[in-house]
Amino acid sequence: MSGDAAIRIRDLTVAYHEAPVLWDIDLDVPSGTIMGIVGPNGSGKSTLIKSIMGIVEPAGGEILVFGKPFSAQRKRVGYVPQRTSVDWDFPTTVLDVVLMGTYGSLGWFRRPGRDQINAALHAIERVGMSDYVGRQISELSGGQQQRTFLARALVQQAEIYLMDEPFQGVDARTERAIVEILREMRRLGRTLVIVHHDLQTVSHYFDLVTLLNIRVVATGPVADVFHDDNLRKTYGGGQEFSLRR
Amino acid sequence: MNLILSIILIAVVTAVACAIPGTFLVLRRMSMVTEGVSHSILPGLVLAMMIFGTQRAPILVLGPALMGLALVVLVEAIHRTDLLAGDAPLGVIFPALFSIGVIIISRRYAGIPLSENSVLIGDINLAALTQLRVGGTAIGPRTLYVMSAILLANLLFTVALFKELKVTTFDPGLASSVGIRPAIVHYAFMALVSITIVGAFEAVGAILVVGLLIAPAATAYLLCRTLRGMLITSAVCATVSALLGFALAYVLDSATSATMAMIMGLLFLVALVFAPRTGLVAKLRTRQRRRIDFATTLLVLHLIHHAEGERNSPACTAEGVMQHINWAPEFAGEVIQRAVAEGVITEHHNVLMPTLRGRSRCRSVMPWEGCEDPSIDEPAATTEENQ
Amino acid sequence: MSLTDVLAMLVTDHTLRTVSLGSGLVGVVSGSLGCYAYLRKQGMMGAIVAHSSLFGITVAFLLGSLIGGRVAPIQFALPGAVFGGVLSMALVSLIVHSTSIKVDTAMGIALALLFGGGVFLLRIIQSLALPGHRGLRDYLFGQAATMTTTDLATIVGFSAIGLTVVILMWKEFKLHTFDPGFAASIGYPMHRLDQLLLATIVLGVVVGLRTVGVILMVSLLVCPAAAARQWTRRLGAMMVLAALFGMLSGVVGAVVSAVVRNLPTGPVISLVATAWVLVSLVAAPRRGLVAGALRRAANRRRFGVMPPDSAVQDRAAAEGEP
Repeated sequence: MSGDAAIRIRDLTVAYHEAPVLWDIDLDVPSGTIMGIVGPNGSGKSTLIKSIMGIVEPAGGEILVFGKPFSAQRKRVGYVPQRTSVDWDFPTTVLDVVLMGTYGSLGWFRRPGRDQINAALHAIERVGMSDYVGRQISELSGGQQQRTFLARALVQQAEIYLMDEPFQGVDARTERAIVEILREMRRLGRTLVIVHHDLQTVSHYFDLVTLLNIRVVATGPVADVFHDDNLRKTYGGGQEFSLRR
Repeated sequence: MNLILSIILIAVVTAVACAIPGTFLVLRRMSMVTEGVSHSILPGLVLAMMIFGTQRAPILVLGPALMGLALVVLVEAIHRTDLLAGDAPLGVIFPALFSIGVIIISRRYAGIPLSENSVLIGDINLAALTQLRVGGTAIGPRTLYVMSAILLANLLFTVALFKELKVTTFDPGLASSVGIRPAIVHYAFMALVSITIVGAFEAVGAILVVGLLIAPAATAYLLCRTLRGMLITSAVCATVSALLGFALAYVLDSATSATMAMIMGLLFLVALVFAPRTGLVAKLRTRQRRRIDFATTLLVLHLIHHAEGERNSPACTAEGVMQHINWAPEFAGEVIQRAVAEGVITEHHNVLMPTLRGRSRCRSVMPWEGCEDPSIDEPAATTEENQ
Repeated sequence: MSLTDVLAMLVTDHTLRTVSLGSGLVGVVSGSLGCYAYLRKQGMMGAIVAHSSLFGITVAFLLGSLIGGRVAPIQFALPGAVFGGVLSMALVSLIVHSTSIKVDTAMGIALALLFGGGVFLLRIIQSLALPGHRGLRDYLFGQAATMTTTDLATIVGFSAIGLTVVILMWKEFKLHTFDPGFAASIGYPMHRLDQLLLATIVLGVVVGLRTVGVILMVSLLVCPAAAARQWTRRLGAMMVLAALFGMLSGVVGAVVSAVVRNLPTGPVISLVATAWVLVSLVAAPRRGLVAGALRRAANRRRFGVMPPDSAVQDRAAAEGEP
């Protein structure tokens, strides 16, 4: 029964130059939940997200999105890349970046029209960036850049969202605002998979968590799996990780 | 001195003189800076000729040297304004400087040896003909003496400052902490590079000198693992290319400098394909071998996962494995056969099971999780390796 | 000759009209396509592509001479240049992806092999005195004055292809250049788009080789884009401005070199193009150096002292004013 799982991964193995990055992974993301993915650097978090979207070719295994391969479900999946992965000095404006979220549904060669612009303006309003619609993106703060990316994802009107470190380098106010938006998205039945690095906030932000280090160390409700023992397994025994400060 | 011998000697000495600093240029990721510096030689030379009103005097060397410096300063200044992206400052400035040189030549010096062609590819024949005279007697080609002196300077510099060059190339931070000033080494080195380019300009022209600096060093980079080995290999590559280049150019009546540069490029291609460890052929072989190794380990891991995980038997048949890991039947068959032969799994009535040896193999690649045999406890000692 | 004479000649003189039309079009195409080279930070790659196209030009010329027939071998030069340019990009990408050699060194190798090979073949063609070999010289430093109607037709053809691709693929190229990861997530074929974009850049280089020459063509690719970037914050406006800067560089350079004796076209065009950059760096509103200095002076008056590391913030703040 795959109706319940928004994303279902079985035996996924990904290798770069025949060296494993992800090794024989099983993972289910139930529909309508927020799942955090945590793990040390190089544990394959971004690779996991990229392989769900077929950007990285797996060496083996199967990934189903609502029961079908990703290529058949592309429009039901939205993506927020790492903020630092793009050149923010590119000559373009906030509105223009958010409009990029409509490109997937527009298809080749067609340009965005009135409907798309309205949708983009609405998304910009939802993330609280209405005062910055025409602003050149190089003038935005880190938090504003992240909000712009989030607005672009909202415009995609997807059912599943994959987000790579959406809280990286943002101010506390933006972080709270983003969390609010994420919770609202969940209320609307969206499924969110979020790569995250701040262990302190995991239990506040997510319903489910996956501890990843090339293999899945543990996955499940935060209360069940997010404890010191699993963290030690994920981050290595040499380092002491504790949730209690 | 015999003309042909002169040309050969000039070719070899110039190639080797370039190859030695080239090694550090490649390692310091400064290859394209030489494209800029070499293009600024021409305007420097021409402006000096205008100012001093002479076409051949040692003082003219001031022009190119200052112009090379001007280029570096200008590019850095534009870079610092943060207004131009990427390598655009260089791409904007060096053609402009070069243009100034070409325009002055075409307008004022039409007909003198500094013609368009010699600007591009130099004129090694003319260089071989121009004799150095001491007290009225010719003692051999001037360029040969100049380039030999530069070669000697490069060798001395490299030997004397080998440690300093090495440290500042690989770890500038460490260099500062042990009392070596990276900036001083850098500017001294760049000055020597500029002098080398000025010297080589006459024989090989403004653009090909970049090839002479970079290509042999890049070939050596593929073949060697030590800095010393790289220096020697790039000098050998340069010598071989100079000799082959001269021979080919002589037979086909082409330009020695261009043929030399082309052979250097071809030598690199040969190394790229056939180099023992790093070549494409060697890599393809390793990759094929690794692919099977990798697949075998993956198979064992998969079996362990299933034998101890929540889902049991279906995946443990050959068909199940094919379906789950998405392998083509032939490949899956090959991997299973290999795994059985290595004794990491057993096949019993079409059911695949991991063996003890298989488990320990997995533990060696995945020390921290999932592979421990029920009878062998606690991988704690190995977990520290991760992180 | 006075300026009015030149302007009068532009109308009456057939050659000068052809020359300025052709060079202007070259500037438009190289300038606008060059924006992608600039934004992808591949300016120096443009220089290497231009140098390397000499190999393709000479190979095509040799093949054309061998085949014979009614088409003059020089007509094969531009298709050959495309081949040479694509070859250099493929070589650099092969080296970077299959070894640990960095991209700048890979460009140096391509230069040695393909420019070296080009000059090697050029010399052989010259020694053999193949018919029409004198035309090849024009490809070194460019020669607009000898531009024929056939050359103009070729330029028009190349321009039509290049501009059509850029307009058709407008949003695809933009998104792929800005955020390749997101582009791939919505199903854009990353490698195909990359190849198409690189081919377009090669086209932007090749179209001007006859006019500017393989040595200095990089100027007409990078300078208009670099200058245009200073005046605007939109990609569309940047391209239009770059096309304009390119066109002016092309026309001014070509006309000056056609009118003044003993002046190869390439260097003049290159200098004019560079002048646009320098003017823009100094005078552009908001980003320009003068604007920056005025702003700092005003700030000093208002606040007494400057906050540290203000240059970037300063510019950002200024650009932000709607």
